[in-house]
Amino acid sequence: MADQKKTVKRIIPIREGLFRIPSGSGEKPCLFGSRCKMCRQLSFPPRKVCSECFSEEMEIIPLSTDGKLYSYTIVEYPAPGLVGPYAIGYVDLPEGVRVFSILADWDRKSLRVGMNVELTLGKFKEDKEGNEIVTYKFRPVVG
Amino acid sequence: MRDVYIIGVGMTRLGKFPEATLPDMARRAFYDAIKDAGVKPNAIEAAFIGHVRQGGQGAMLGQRIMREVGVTGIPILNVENICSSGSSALWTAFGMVTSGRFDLAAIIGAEQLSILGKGVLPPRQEDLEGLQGATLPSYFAMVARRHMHEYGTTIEQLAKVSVKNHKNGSLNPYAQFQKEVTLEEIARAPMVADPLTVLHCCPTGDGAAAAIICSGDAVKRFSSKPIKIAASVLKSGTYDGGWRDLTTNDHTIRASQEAYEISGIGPEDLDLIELHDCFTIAEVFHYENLGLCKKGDGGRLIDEGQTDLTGRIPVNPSGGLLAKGHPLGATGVAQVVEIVWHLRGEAGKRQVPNAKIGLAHCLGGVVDGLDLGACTVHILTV
Repeated sequence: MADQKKTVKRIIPIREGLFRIPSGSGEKPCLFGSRCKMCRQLSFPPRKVCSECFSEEMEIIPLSTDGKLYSYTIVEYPAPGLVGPYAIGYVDLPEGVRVFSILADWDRKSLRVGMNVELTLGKFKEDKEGNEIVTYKFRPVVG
Repeated sequence: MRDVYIIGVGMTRLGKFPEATLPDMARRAFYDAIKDAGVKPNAIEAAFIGHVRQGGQGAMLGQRIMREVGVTGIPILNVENICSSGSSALWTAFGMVTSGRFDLAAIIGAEQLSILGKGVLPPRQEDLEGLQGATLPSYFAMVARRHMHEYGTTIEQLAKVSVKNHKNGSLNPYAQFQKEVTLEEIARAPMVADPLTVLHCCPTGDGAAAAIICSGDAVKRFSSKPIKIAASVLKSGTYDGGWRDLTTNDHTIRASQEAYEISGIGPEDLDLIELHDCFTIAEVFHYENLGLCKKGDGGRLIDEGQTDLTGRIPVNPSGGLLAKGHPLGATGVAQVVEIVWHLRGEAGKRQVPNAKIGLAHCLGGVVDGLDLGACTVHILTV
């Protein structure tokens, strides 16, 4: 049993409640934002309390999967525990939230401010048990 | 509220001193300040110690420092606001003295990053950005890229900030780097986060700085050349649904505007500025945030040499964080020490002639969703 347990690798989101991992065909990944039921203030990552009117009546809503790249960098000197180079950026979604994100499927020449990007999910790293930690990423829209 | 004066300052050279102990460095800075002020250590009524609790030396560091200097039993407060810890300690002490709680207080900023090893400061894992690989250089790299996109700022303009500050640092015996660098060396240096090479980034390091402040009621007893704190302001970043405008720095704008209002001094009246140039782009956009020029014009100021040591408004005559160094908790106090020396005409080869008014600006910490964590602005006058 112990051996069997070791071989079962799980997919674990980097943090609960941030995005939807598709469970079946037809379902697509998306980010979740919070919207204040009182004043409609929208936030990502989701908040428990509204930063505008202090209401605790918040609803979770799916966010658009298409956005524009507001700024980006290719990190050559990585954060502790990570391997460079990797690309990160801020993505503007049509709802009016600016989302920090790891970028996927990039090359050094293709990235530019203002380009169209779309949501995808991908591996962030493996934990000590070999489970795959997944996170949301944005990638350039091809074509 | 009473007037508050700085009557003594001192600091160690900044650099990498892994063999030293932090209380020992702090003691040296404190004794320089005490002697400079001409007061006895036991006259100090309260001590405010800015540091970031690095390397396990953090808990009760203030008490350890004050034990080392021989002043115990008085109120001692440890103040942490990341890179603006030292200046936040000054803000706290200023409030206590101006309100009449104390007449004589000590502020010490101290940090020892070399014992943590090399590399970037570890980001906070509870922040989504830090968790996913954002570092301080990468954040400012994104600021730089967006500033270039919106305002046409160039990488060469940013590099000129590094050239200027290293040149100033070469004149400062307290600086970590006392060597000039060229545009070519900056461009060819290892890339940290595109477009910022390592010479666009401040180093980590060690050191301590101290100041003794005094109420207007008591100042005549101590000092013939006190420096007045004309404004002391602390602000935190604001949250706007996670919507960050990377090209501006809202709390620097709010802090400086309030400091200008309190003091009746405008940006055009300043003789010198020590500002938080953690990265070259930071200095350029803080020209704009502090009101030295309009938004987007920061690159032009450096091109025209307006912020050179001999320019219209010298910025970072000490060498700034880029060359003087950035031992987090020490930085905000070291900026104030530098300005005091200029206002007294004691700044040696890097002296800004006839300086009467100086501004110190210190910024701390990237926090998810905020336009950075904490910002202090102090205006000092003769």
